[in-house]
Amino acid sequence: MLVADIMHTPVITASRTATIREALELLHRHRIRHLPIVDGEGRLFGIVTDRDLREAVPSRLAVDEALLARLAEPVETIVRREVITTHPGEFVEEAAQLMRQHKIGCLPVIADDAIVGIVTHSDLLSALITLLGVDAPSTRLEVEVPDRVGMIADLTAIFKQQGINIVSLFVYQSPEPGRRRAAIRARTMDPRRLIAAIRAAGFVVRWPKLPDDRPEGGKGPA
Amino acid sequence: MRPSEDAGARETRPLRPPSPEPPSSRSGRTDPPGPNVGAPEPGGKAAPGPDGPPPAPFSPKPWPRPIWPARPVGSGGRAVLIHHPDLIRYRFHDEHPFDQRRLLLVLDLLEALGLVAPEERLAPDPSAWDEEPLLRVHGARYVEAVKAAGRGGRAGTPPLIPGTAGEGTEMAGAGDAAVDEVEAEPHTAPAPFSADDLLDYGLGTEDVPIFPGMHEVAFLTVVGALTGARYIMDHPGHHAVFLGGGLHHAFPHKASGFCIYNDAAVAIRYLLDRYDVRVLYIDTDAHHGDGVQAIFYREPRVMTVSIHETGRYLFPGTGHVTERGEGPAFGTKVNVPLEPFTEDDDYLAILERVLVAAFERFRPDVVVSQHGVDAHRYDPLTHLALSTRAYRAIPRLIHTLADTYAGGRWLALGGGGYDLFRVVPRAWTFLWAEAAHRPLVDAEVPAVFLDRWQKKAPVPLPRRLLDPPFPPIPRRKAIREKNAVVLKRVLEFLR
Repeated sequence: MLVADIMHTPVITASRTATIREALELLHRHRIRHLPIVDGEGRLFGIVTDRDLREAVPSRLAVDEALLARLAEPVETIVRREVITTHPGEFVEEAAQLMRQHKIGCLPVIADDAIVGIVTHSDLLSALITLLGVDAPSTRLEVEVPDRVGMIADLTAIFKQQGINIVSLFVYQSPEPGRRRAAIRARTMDPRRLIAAIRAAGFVVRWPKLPDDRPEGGKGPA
Repeated sequence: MRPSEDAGARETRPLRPPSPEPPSSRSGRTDPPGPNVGAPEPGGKAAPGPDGPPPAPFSPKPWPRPIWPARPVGSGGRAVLIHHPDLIRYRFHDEHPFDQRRLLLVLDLLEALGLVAPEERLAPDPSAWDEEPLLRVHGARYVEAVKAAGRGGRAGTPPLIPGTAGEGTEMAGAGDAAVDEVEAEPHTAPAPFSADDLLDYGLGTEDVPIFPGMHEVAFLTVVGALTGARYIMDHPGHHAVFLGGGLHHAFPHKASGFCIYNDAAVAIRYLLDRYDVRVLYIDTDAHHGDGVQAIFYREPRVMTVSIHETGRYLFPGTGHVTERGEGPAFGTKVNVPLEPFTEDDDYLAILERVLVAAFERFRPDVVVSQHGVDAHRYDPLTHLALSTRAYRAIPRLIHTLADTYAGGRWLALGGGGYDLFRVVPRAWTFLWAEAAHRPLVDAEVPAVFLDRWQKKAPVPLPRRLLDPPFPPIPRRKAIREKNAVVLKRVLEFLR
């Protein structure tokens, strides 16, 4: 999954000559917290956040000439010039790493010197839901496999042979060394034969359990 | 088979009876925005229900609307048990867990216990219904695919049960476009479906294999639910039980989870179209009622409440508390996902708190409930741990609430249930007994029933309707804690 797949576009931007008041109004109107500032040619000049803007303006309680004057100043007086950016072709996890490392809340997406999108925390959360969530009626299985060549191929071949479609699959590290866990969403309401076949092939199905695993046909965590 | 009561009662009835002053309990509520007639609904790739935006047969009425006459609580109106012998043809193959031959066991147990009077039986009559109510939920092309699949992929041969297509429409003015579509498509331009086409409609999958005549029996199921819907509107205060229905996973353009047509959704859509009522749908199947929820996700006149095993692992994976409806219907979709191995006491306490809050908040005119009984400890497909004590209590709770809040207009449908011999007959016996105002505390399973079925059953049959106490689940405390978090969240939404 690429940044281009999850980024917000078009981007709300302000010109470097816009006033602080105009920048604040843009944040409020669009309910956003990050405002890229562009120069006359549409190139990224810097960025301001809602916090930058609020800190730049004296308290609203002190309504006086100073406040009004400050609001009328151009936004370029408070803009941050060093902006960490990403590219539409970058992987989502790289963008997430960048944001975490620099403790920042957004990444403008730059291609050919132009700002083509923006990625924020909430875009990354949506991506997480898309990657791990449910978008088709399905049962989830967790299977532990040895960390060796061809294990996932062997495992997924069982689904094919059972005629059951896989709607999502991800593999992650197991707490047990030398093993990996596969979380698979399968388009079936009755996974019993599938589970039996996976077990017969020597894999460990961590969940769901079969009724036979439970005492006297009743259920209980086996 | 008795002649259908419906066949005799086909003259057009007034849409609503003379309405009394609304009781004060209703006047104080905040009224939701007007009905969302004709709005596209999610579920399936092409969003609008059948084809194109459905027509608006009834103009939205200002709130508060007149309500149906209330009935004194517990006055013991009649109930009907809707059944048709052909329903047992709804089965896929011998290894498939869904097998409507379980209805034979239920009827047999009910008869052995002497629980059904002859005048309480009602047979649905497919020749008395055209396909229009079906097409208000399912796409015409999907219905054609089901028909073709049931004929071995060929299109254009006439239906097996005569009169199931194209007869004079009863709901005047409603869905004319959809009816035209049906006339035009199958008969003049037969379009064959390849196996891949059918797979795109969810047909021929591991869960919904193709079998001969699948359209006819699935349509019969829909007619059963429609018959019940019409019965409870024609007989104020009476209840209807249709154990062949409740196939809540079907989507407008896709078969899913053993379900071909969504009879519950078709019945609810019919209630909206014809009577303009507010419907509370209650789904106690162990699996999330995803099809019904999706079909009415933007419909504010329908509240759905589904209590089910969490979808973290179990099919269909949806039914999270955050699924609450969209647009004008936001807040009318309620989901209560429970931990695996939840037991009776916890389940019932949660269900009661949620349902009371839902009735208080929504004030339905009609209750449609889905009584899947696959949350039982013996059920092979799920991980909830109920006993038949819960299946005695669930209908009682719904019955009381339907009488108190909805004038007794209650349609109870079947649903899942894959321990065919031990669970389904006993659980649905409790349901019918409750609806028929002959509630059972417990009873011995009659010898005549055991004699007939024990030799066919792979397991020893229980001797009493009520399960003896099961050994407690080891992690009970942790399960309770997690369920309590879910309950708290759901109740916050319903405030």
